[in-house]
Amino acid sequence: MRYEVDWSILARPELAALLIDGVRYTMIVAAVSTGVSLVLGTALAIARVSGSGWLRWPAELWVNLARHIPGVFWVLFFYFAFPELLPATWGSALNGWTSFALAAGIVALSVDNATYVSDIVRTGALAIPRGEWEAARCCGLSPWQQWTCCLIPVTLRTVTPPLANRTIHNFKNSSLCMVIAVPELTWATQQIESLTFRGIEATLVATLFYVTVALALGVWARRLERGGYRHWRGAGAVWRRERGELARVDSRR
Amino acid sequence: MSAELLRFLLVGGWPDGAPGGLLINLALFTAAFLIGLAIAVPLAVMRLAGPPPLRFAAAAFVELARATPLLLLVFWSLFLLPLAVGGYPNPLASALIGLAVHSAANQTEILRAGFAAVPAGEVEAGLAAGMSRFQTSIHIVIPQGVRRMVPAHFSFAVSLFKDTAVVYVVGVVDLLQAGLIAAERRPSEILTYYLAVAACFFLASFTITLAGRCIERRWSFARPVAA
Repeated sequence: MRYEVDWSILARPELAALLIDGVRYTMIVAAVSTGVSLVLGTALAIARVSGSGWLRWPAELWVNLARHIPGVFWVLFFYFAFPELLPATWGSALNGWTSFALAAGIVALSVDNATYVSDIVRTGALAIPRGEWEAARCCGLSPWQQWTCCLIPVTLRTVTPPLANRTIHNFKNSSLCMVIAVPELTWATQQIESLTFRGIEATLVATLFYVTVALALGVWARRLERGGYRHWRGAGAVWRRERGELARVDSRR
Repeated sequence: MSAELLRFLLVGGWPDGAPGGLLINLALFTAAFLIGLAIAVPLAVMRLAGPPPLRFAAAAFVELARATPLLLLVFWSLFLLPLAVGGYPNPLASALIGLAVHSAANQTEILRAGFAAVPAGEVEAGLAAGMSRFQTSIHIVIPQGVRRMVPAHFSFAVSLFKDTAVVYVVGVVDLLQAGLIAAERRPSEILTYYLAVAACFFLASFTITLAGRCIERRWSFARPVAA
């Protein structure tokens, strides 16, 4: 079998529009679901390291359940099965909503990514030395202040590089939304394939886009890992200097 | 849910007809993991110790494959396989190739990171003690590197198993597709089928996690290596 590559189809306005819209939807899905999963994952992580069993056990149970279920299942679940869980009038209202596929895809990716975010944030929070938790408590800060003024800012610095890597995964996972016909980039390439039988050209363009963005995010993540220390101020940098890590990083530079 | 439909979710039409359901996910996972490992070992050696052109080629393959969404890897093999070997597009073979490329690239990175994490002082100590480069690799780098990469390898195995679910997009009747077919046949029981599919995925991938924890405990650094 032979395949004649024909780039002119990408110049056809209706097909080019599919790809351009695809890029737009991919960015929307990836950005919003990453944002939501950061909030959701951090909340889950706080629940998992908190002293209260009422918060800890449900969060642990949920994370261990969700970690073992595929992302594409969540996408289908929120689109097809979730409306059935609601009262009939709400369910049909959701099904009639034109942006429902987009919303379901974003919720599904957020749920999927939040599990990994919570693992990363939990590891970061557990890496804070005990003395620092105790110091926050001894200063007479309320639990809310302990978190917002001391523990979250310190944790944020350790978890930023792994979170950046996770964001790359979530960006690539946005392609899963094609299964519920969210018009993102992967869906657009399949649409062009079924309209013109010229999938290879469109898929090549899409692959270039994904690879460029993923590699650029990767370079950014590596820079955070290496050079991030320089910009760090405050408690995080101080305890790291005590542990000799700052010296090691400086000598490498 | 009838016993017949539950069987359809687990093994498809097997043994009388075409296999499907969870059986396909497990088969794809096993094959993609092993093929990936078989490709990853030479690639990791190339990346760590190969001559510069090979090192660059291996790095380029790993970076490209890791930056491409798995779905696109599967679509690429669906497009390119008929061009390479002729015939009609084969969804199952394409799914396997896509998963194997994804698995090879990620396992190469895990192997590379594991071996690179062995402290340079250990290698220098081996060389200073009069061991050859080869002996240093066999007796010092590999035993420590392999232990270091066990957690990463098992968490990748879990994610590879979960990723086998995307093959339903190209029309392979895996567990997810079987669940969708069953739910379409009986729309009133849609929640039952989604729950059954989630439970099957959970049990299978949780087993991988448990196996990983078991091996991690056995191979942990706490216990000295038997000489």
